[in-house]
Amino acid sequence: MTDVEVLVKLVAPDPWSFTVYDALSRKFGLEEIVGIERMRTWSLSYDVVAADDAVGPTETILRETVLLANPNRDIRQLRAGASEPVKPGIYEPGDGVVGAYVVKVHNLWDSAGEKVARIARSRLGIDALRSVSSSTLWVIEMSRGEPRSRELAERVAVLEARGAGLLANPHCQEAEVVSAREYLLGGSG
Amino acid sequence: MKPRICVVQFPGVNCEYETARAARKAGMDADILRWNEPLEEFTKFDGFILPGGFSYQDRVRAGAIAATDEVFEVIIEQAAKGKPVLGICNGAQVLVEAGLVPGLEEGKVQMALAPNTGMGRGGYYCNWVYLRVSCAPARTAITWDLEPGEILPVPIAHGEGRFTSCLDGLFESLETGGQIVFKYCDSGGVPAEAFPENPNGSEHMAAAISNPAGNVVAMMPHPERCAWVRQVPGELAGPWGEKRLASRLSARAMDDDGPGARVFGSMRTYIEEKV
Repeated sequence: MTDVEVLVKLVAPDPWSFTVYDALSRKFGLEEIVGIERMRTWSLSYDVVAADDAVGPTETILRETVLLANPNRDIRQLRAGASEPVKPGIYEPGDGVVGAYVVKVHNLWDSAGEKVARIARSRLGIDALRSVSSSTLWVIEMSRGEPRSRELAERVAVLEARGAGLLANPHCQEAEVVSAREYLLGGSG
Repeated sequence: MKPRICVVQFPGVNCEYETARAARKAGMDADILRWNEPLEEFTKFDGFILPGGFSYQDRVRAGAIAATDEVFEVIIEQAAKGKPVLGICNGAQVLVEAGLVPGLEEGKVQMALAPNTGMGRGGYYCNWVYLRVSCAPARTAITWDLEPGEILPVPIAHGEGRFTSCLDGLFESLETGGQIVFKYCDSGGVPAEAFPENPNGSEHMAAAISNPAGNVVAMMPHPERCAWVRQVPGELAGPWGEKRLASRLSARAMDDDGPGARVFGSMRTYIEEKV
C-alpha cells in the first residue's frame, strides 16, 4: 500500500482563517496566537508498491476533475511523503512566528473521501485506489516557542467545553497535533 | 402582558423572520436582536430562540463559532433562571457546541450534531419527517401543551443533524432522564431507526434533546416552517395532511395553527406558568 497526499489551499485570503484567528485571539484571549492558516489535505491510498504508481493516477484525478482541487480557486501540491517540504504558496511562516503547530482535523464519517474514491474508480477507472480520506489542517502560528506553543496548540485543538478548545468536536472528529516544521517544512522536531 | 421572546440573529442565520412570525402567531412578542447588541438588551426577554441558517457560514463546524460569542454568557445566565431557550436547526447546533445541551455536566460539550449518514451517504437533506413526543410533555418548555406521544409532521433541512456522542451510555442516560424530547417516527407514530423516517441516522432516533431542566432544547426540524396549516402539504399522511386538504378552499382555515405552532404555543404557556 502506498500513500500520497494532496495539500490544497485557497489562492485568495481565507475568511475561515480570519474567523478562527478572531475567535482564538480575541474571544479566547490567546494573544500569543499571531496567525492562522487553513488548508485541506487529501490522503490517497493505492494498492501499489512504487510511489510513482500512486503519483500518476493522483495527477490524473487532479487533471481530469475538480474533486480534490479547483485550479481556478486553489493552489495545490502533491506529495509522496510528509518529509517533502511544501512550496511557499502553500505555507511559509509569517513574520514574528516563533512556534507553529498543525492541528489536523479529520471527520470520523468522511463522506468527502468516500465520494472521491468512488468517482475515481468508477469514472476514471483507477482501480488501484483503495481509499481516500480528507482532513483540514489548521496551522496555529504563535509568538512563543516550546513548550508553550505546543501547549497552546493542544489547548485549542479539541473542544471540551465552551471556551476550551475549538477546532475538533471529539464526538464526531479526531485531531492530531504535529509540529509545522515537521509536517510542512520537511524538518524534524 | 405577552411573553417577550428574543430571536438571536447571528451573522449567517436565515430563518429569523419566519421564526419571529411564528412566535408572534403563538401570542408572544418577538424581537430579532443582532448578536452584538449590548448584552443588557438580552436580559429583558422571557425566552430565547436561536433560529436556523448558517451562523458564521458554518466555519470550523456548524454552530461552533456562534457558540463562542459573548452573547452566550447572557443566554447561559438567563437559562439558569429557567427561561426557555429553543435552538432550531443551526440554533440546535450552536446549543450543542456551547455545551448547553445535553448539559449533564455543566459547561462540558458532550455530543455533536454530526454529518448525516441516514441516506447511506453524507450531504444536505430536506424533507418532511414525523416527530413523536417521547418525553412527558410537562418536562420541557416546548412540549408543555402537547399530548404524550403526539405526532407532529415537521420539515427538516440540514447536512449535520445526527445527534451522536462518543460517551458510553450518554443516550441511555438521556432516555432515562426524559431528555429526548422528540423522536423521528413513521406517520403512525412508531419510532423508526432507518432512513427515511430517521433522516440523518441520529442515535436513539433523537430529533430534539433538552437539558436536564427541560428549558433548553436543541431541535433539528423546523417548527417555524409549519406554523400555519397552509404550510403543510396535503399529501402528508395523517390528520395534519387531511386538515390541509380540508382547508384548501378557505383562506381563514389555511391560516389556522399548523403542527409547528404547537411548539411555539407550548413555549408561551411555559413562560406564562413558569417564568
